[in-house]
Amino acid sequence: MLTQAAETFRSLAPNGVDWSSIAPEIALGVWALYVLLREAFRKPGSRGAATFTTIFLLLFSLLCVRNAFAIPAGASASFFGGMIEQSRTTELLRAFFLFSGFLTTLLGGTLLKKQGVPQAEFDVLILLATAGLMLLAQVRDFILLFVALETMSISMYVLVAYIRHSASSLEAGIKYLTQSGLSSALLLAGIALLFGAAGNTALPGACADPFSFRELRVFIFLNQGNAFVLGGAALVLCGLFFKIAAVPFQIWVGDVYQGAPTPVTAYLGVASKAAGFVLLVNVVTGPLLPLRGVLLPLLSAVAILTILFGNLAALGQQNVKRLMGLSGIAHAGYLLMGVCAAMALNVDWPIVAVYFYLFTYLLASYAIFGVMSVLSGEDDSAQTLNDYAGLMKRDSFLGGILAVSLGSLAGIPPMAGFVAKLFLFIAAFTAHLYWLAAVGLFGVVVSIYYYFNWMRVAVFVPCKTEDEVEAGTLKAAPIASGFWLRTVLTTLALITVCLGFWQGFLAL
Amino acid sequence: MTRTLLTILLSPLCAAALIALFGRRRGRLSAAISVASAGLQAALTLFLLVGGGWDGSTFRDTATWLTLGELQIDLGFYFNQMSALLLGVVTIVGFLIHVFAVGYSDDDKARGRFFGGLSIFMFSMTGIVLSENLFMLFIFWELVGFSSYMLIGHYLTDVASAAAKKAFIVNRVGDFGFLLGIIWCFWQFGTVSLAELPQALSASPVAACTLTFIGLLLFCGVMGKSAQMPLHVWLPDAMAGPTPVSALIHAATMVAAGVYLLGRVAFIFNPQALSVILAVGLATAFLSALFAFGQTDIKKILAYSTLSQLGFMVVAFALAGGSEGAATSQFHLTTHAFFKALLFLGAGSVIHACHHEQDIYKMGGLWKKMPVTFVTFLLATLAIAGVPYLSGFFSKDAILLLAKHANPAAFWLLVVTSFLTATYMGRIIFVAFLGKARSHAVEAAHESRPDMLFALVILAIGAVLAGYTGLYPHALASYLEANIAEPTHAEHASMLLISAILSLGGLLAAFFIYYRPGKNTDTFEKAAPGVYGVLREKLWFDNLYDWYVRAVQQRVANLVAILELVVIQGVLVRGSGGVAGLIGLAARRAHTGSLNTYFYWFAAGVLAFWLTTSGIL
Amino acid sequence: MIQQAATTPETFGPVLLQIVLAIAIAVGLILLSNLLGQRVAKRSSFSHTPYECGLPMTGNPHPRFGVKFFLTAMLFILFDIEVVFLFPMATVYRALLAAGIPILAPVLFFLAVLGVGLIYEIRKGALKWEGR
Repeated sequence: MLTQAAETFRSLAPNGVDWSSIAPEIALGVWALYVLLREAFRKPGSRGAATFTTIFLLLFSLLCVRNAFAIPAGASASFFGGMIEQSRTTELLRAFFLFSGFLTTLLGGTLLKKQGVPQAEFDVLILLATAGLMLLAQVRDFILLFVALETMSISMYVLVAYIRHSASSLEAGIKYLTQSGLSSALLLAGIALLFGAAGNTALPGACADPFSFRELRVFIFLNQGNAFVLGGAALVLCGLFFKIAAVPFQIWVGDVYQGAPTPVTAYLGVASKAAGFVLLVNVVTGPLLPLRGVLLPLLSAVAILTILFGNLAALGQQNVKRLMGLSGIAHAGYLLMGVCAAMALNVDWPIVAVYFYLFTYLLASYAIFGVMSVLSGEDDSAQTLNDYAGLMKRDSFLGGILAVSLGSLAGIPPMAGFVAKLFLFIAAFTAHLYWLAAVGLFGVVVSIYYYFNWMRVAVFVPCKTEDEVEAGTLKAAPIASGFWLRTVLTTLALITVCLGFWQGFLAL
Repeated sequence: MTRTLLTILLSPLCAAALIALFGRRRGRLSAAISVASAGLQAALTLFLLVGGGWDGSTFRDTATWLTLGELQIDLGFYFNQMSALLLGVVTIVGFLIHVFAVGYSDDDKARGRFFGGLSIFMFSMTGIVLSENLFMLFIFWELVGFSSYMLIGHYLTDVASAAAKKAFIVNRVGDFGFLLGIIWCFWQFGTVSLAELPQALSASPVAACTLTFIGLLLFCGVMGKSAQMPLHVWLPDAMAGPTPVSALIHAATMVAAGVYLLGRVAFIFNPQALSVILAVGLATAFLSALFAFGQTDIKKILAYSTLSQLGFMVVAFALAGGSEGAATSQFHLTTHAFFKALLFLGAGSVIHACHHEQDIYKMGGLWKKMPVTFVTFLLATLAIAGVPYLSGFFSKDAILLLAKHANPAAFWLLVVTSFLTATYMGRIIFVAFLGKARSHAVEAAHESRPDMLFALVILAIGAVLAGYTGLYPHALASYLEANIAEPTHAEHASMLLISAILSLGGLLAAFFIYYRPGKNTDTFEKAAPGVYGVLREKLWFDNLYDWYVRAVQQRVANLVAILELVVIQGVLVRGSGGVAGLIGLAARRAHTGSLNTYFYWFAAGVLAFWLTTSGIL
Repeated sequence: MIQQAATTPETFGPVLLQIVLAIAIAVGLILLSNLLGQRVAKRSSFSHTPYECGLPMTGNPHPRFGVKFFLTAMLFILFDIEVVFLFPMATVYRALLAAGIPILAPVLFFLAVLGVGLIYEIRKGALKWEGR
């Protein structure tokens, strides 16, 4: 009995359990505990560990980038019995999530002080969510996928509702909790269906480990018509589409993005969405690839609807956080285009294009959310386009950052966003997804309209005068931003421009 | 080598960036930065050409810019004797014009913007010269178009902005064809690298018809940039820009980029394509020379003369094709750059001195007041007229010789055009510089600043000597001598005679017709008002385009504008009426804020997914 | 690792029956009460009051109450789950050791995490019954 169980465990982890492979995630967890303890024993008035956390995340991110290039391209290693697979891509994704964690804590420092809420717990939650996201980048197993996803989600519920005295933040929190909970349930149901079907020894190719991506792929290839497989695949996709906010699971976006504290909105819009895409890519080009015939039309249809919905809903939107959220839906649509191409062509370069797009999206989004955090007034959720009137005159630095980043999101040539969009469109054309590309182009044209409207307001609409501020018609938002925040925002904008000119390092 | 070329390419870009950052309100500083970068370019080019920085062999260096599956786009340099020649012209003439511009723009309030624009132009023009492939070339092609647009519209008057817009739009028409040509080229041969295309071309035989089309599409770009016949209308209007800009961009370099492009892709043109190009070039050369008589604005006369000379270059290329045609046209391009830049700067000097008076019938007697300008202008006039042993004589001679061998009809047309050239240039001399002053502004004119004169003098030396290939750096001289047809002894004598008769005869004719000191009406206009009217209206090309724009395009544009009003303004933005707006509205309405509704979305989504995957839907 | 009896989709029949039954009962009851219930006062505002006796309501029907009870419940769940996790580890502890997989350190780490959480709660005063 004992030996048999031992044998089972050994087969699960043939090389033993190598904790060092997830050392970065563990380190994040330990640091989170340290921050928590330090907060518990902090004397009132003394400083917390916030600065260190921010620096820690940045250094860690750079370290991961360095590690990534130490790994030879194309090489990959499995750990924990195949639950985790590491390669240069996953290492870069780790760096991506760490970097977005870094930016979130940095923006948090600006915003939370204004709102008068403590930062230590915020940092702890960001650290934990980041650890979950980093794991998500590497999972090749459904059960670990779910655990990592929940680690991220549960931290997220609290973060969304972090500004406790703001009704809209609490509302957003409860809405996110219920809907995300539902989506997790769907995902879990899907996993269970796949597990049930694949563990069924009566079916051809039944798996010994029905959670493993690799084994499931073989099984699904042999049982393409099985109702459980198809249903399971549908439910898994439902769960993932919630995370990336694709139509018809996009409906939570407006309220949650608006209500959440601005840095959290950024984190939700970039990191959480990116994680959704990483999972989606790994799932549809992994275990679900044999179902391509069914899934490709479905994904294409979803992409088309997502692009249309996101762009049309964002038109005429006045609240900037909602605008970012809804236009983010459209970006998810463009990204889905790349995923469809990767699926149709079954090659890797559209995936690289998707990740590159996510990175440019990170740069531009965080820069914009950074500007928003600086401008945010008493009520964090009530920023509208009008608050941006005359921004260029009031503070040309912030105006410039905003212009570059909006240009990148709209896909205007010298910016990185243009090249990233170009790659996705080339991918769609190469995969003969002409309708998709056409709708995408339409979407881009529409998006230029609302992004430029924002720019127009910031540049051309005259700034409200001081009397109006005194009369109370304008929420006085003093433009004060720290040196480091400015440095980081400048860096983001610079990278956006540089990547627009040079992407030679991408092995597409 | 790569580093040197990179420095030449990027130094004006850095200058433009510096000006954009610090120089917007500091005119003097930005002028200094811009001139310094142009000087650096010229110095490095001289180092390459005569200082031993380059051994005369073809140099190519590329770096992969991006790879997408099969598609690979490179960035790089392709530097051969032809690009060396043009690089020399661009940087040296460019530097002199920069120097001149410092003096010319001393009363300009937006000096920073002006010099920033010049630097951007130098960057893009150098880029065109050095580009390794057509994609890269196209990017710089668009950039010169942009900087030209910016500089034509520099004075921000209505005329200037209209001219800038016109230049931009007409060029887009040509560039559209050019882009199609590049894409077709890539599709057909799998590469657009200038170094690899010849092999690809010989490796894969393509239908003659296809090749003709590709060639003609590429020529579309040339027609736009080098202002060939149907697309020539923008160049005279572009004279609304500052005169140094007209000299640099719209006479010496940018408009020559088209001719340079012809030389770069010379291998792609087959006889059919060449015959079309020949016809276009001849028409441009001849008609523009005629139109020059109908103008009284000194810069416009020079602009039509530029058109005519560009026509000469295109004809030179089309007559022989291949490397011979390329070299002959590049030779004329080089000499033309010197004497035409000089003509424009001379005109600029005059205009500056006369407080922006440009009508030659308001000038007169300037030779006494501006002796240096007069002498240099005269030398340039003699050069362009083709007076023997000045630069224009050699290059034009080479073209006439080619024509004599290849195409007698073209030869006679060119002979007539040469005669006309001498006449209309003589007209400027006799009306504007000789005789008596016709207005107060001109009476008060005085010689320009020494630094402006410096540029004039240097260019004058160039205009006199640029025809002697023996004076060129070895690599360039051997390139030109190897590829340009040498006349036999008998021919030599006859060509000399023809040139002398044409040029001196033309000038003489101008003297008899136009030398009327003190009168401020055009003799020719009085004698034959009908013909003059036709020439003044430039065969109604502009009116034709205006009519087309008004009658056809404007209506379409109105329609589009109405559609825009309805669809974009009315439907999308106001969210009232129309499908798209309703969707947008509905999309926003969908966010009711009520969790119950949201769950229905969820349920619908799950149901739809399940049905789709199960194959029911 | 997990041995299953050979199942076919048909063996899930009882599960399906269960689902159908659950939905049918829930929906059926709502429908029945809707069909059979009295609808006299449907449009009247009194039908929306908690008590339809005609007396005006006093006070809020959803009074706020201290969150301490929730706190206790949450702490209970936390430590309950700790036990739930520890129990299976204990059962396979020896097997894991035999397979050469270190297990003590991870378990202690897990406990340490919960310990830190507890310390944090105590320090922040979450467990103080009075005076918050």
